[in-house]
Amino acid sequence: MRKSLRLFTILLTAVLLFTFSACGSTESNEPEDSHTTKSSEDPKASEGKDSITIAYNAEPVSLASYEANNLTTHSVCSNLYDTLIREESDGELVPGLASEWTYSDDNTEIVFTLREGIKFHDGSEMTAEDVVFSMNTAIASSKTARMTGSFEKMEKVDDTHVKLYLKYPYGAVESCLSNDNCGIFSKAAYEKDPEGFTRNPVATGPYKIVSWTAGESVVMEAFADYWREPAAIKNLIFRIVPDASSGLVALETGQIDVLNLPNTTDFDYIESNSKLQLSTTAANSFYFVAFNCTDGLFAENKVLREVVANAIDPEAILLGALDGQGELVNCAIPVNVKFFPQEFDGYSYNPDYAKQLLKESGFEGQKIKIPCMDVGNDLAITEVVVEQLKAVGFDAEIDMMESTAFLADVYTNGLYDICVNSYTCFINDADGIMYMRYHSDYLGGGNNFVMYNNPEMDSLLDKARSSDNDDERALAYRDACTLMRDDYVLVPILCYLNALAADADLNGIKASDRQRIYVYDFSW
Amino acid sequence: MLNFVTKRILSMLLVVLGISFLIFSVMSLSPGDPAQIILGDGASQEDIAELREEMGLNDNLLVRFFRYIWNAIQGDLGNSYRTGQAVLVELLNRLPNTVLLAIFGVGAAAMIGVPIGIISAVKQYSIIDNVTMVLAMVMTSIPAFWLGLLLMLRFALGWGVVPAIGVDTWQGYILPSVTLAIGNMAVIIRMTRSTMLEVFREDYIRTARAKGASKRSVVLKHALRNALLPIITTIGINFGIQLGGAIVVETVFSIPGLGTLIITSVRQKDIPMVMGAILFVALMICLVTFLMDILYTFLDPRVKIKKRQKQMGVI
Repeated sequence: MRKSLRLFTILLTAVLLFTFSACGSTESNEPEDSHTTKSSEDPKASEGKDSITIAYNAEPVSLASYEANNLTTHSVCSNLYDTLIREESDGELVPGLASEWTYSDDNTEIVFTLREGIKFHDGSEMTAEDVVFSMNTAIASSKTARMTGSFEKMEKVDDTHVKLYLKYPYGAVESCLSNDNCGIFSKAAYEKDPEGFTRNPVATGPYKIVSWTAGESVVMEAFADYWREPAAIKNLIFRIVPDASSGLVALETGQIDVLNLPNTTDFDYIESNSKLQLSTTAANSFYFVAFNCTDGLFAENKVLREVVANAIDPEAILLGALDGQGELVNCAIPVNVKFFPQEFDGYSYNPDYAKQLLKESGFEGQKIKIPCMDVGNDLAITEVVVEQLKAVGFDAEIDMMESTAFLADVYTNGLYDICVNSYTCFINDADGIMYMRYHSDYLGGGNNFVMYNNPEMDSLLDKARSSDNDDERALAYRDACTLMRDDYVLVPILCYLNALAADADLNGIKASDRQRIYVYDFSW
Repeated sequence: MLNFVTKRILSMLLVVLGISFLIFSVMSLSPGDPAQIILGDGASQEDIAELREEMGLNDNLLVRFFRYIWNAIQGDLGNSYRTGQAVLVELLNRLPNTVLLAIFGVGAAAMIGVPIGIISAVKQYSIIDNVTMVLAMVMTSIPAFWLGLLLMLRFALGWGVVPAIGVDTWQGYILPSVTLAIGNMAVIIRMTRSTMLEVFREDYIRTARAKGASKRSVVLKHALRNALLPIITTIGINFGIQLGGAIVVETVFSIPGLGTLIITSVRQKDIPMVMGAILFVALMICLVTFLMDILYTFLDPRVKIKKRQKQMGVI
């Protein structure tokens, strides 16, 4: 009797397991029949066509423009603030709060003509004093160094003109001025409550803040007195959804309308679902294998760096780590960034040559550790890199590190020989990713952590940033990339894709190279 | 009773102080610079050094710890390094979500698990018992993130009866509570079954049966009452663990709770937030165990009798 009971229970277990697996496979095989409903129970879901809910996997750290220093915060702030110069979705720079501007002969002073009648979210009118205060606050902030590093100060000329003084002529100044770090806000509102301002900013952007529930959502509403046409969608909710799989389910149920960075494994499903749409673009971020060019194994022996450059197969990494969702890059500038050198000859995958070179290099077979961060795609990419290095004869292993430990050990203290990491360019200009990373002025301490110290490189980067001639700048950056290639400073691999999954009824959905979701461009 | 309460409060404070020091030391001594994380990787070393000075990060570890404890006693848990907001405010915003989730999850697990465990014990080796044990094994083995997504696909996307994410409405608590309950239920079922089986073997149960007590009376009045202490302990421990934040469930269902807050804060080296959250969790767990001890005295009269006998010098 007991034997038959046990047999019965084993059979029952098998049936249960089959049932669970059947539940999962049924849903994924029938996307067209998926039941898509808008939840009427959730008050924060889209109600009719009057609102939009956008899911991010992280929370902004602040809503103050001068404190934004990560992609999520920049994206949220870009809906609250306007800048003197505005960047359109195609990258073109157009007049924003300034209707025009002129340069001095030496390009170190810029006079802006301010538009009149622009209102802040609290109804007060924007003045030259507000512009000067906003810009000088940004300049003084240590979190905006990337954008305002070249700015000296701003002064009022008269009620409709302000002047920006630069420390040196800077070719990327307009790109920097279009970033929300240079957003204009109300001086009076800030002075009334400087601490509270980080949660309740008063600016001129198309949306104004309604509330911020920590860990849950940031709610905004369209600014009725916006100086351009008011935004088409009245209510805007940025919702924190840490898991992309849950986010996709929430998108299908209608609980959210836009999902930032869906899983790459879901791309095919989203594209095949008629109720959804997908937009992708190469990110302004790229992954690479970097060497410590001053200390350690790869600094002492340039041939070893050449071995690695020939051992890395970026296509295999793209397929193995990112399911083919990305774009290969062959230089130190991401593909969508201005002055990316077209038709550049990068490294070639040549494992046989790498093996031969390794034997001739005098390498003694030491174990090499490859640190990487425990975030994003870093580990997946490093796993493939390690296998490729092993295939040519290196005894390599992964040293996965918590991100703060990586920043301390690798970025600040240079305690590494070789690592896998990524850079992001926060502006649409190659200076944003080249100068601070490879100029000797930024050796060590976290910026030029590859410790590349080459006067020729310094000269090229100085020339590129100070010129106002695009052709001259493009040539300088191309020469800089060539120099880095010949010196084997790092081995570029790929740019991942930034993606937006959205309700198919939304218009204007376009993935941004910097994950910027500018809701003013959207409509139902 | 007053003596007992006083002793327990003092020991709670010592435990919390010890845990605080341990966490503070680990967070402070582990690699990573909070100032660098706040400013981002484009910041200059001068700016980082200035911020470190401003935040008091260059002071001695003990000085910083005692400064923190002194402020905490006065109700000031500091400001988050990451957001600049008051730690106490952020914790109070998230605490209700975590507590409610723990109550619903463990409560549901107990309400379903205890009866099933009792039935399984009464019907030992029957089909019901075997099925229950297999189900308990399956429930323990299912990863929470997988189960959560599965439930979401069926009930939120498939039938549309509950929201997929968030706890904006009471319906939002259903799927996460069920996910938590299923994980906790297995332990409760097995503990209930084994303690009931142990109690069934006791002499007083045989006596009760011999005296003609009904089966219901034997099981519920005589056996269950005696088996309750370990069951309550298990439920209490599970509740304490959930108060620390069901990180996986909070992540899958996008619930802003203590679990995800602690994880984010640890990764960002947001020491004040980690300290504040751990203090909260430690205090709540101590409170739960204290309440369990009080509950024991009501459930088991022998606890009080032993004390009276000690006082009388009988034992």
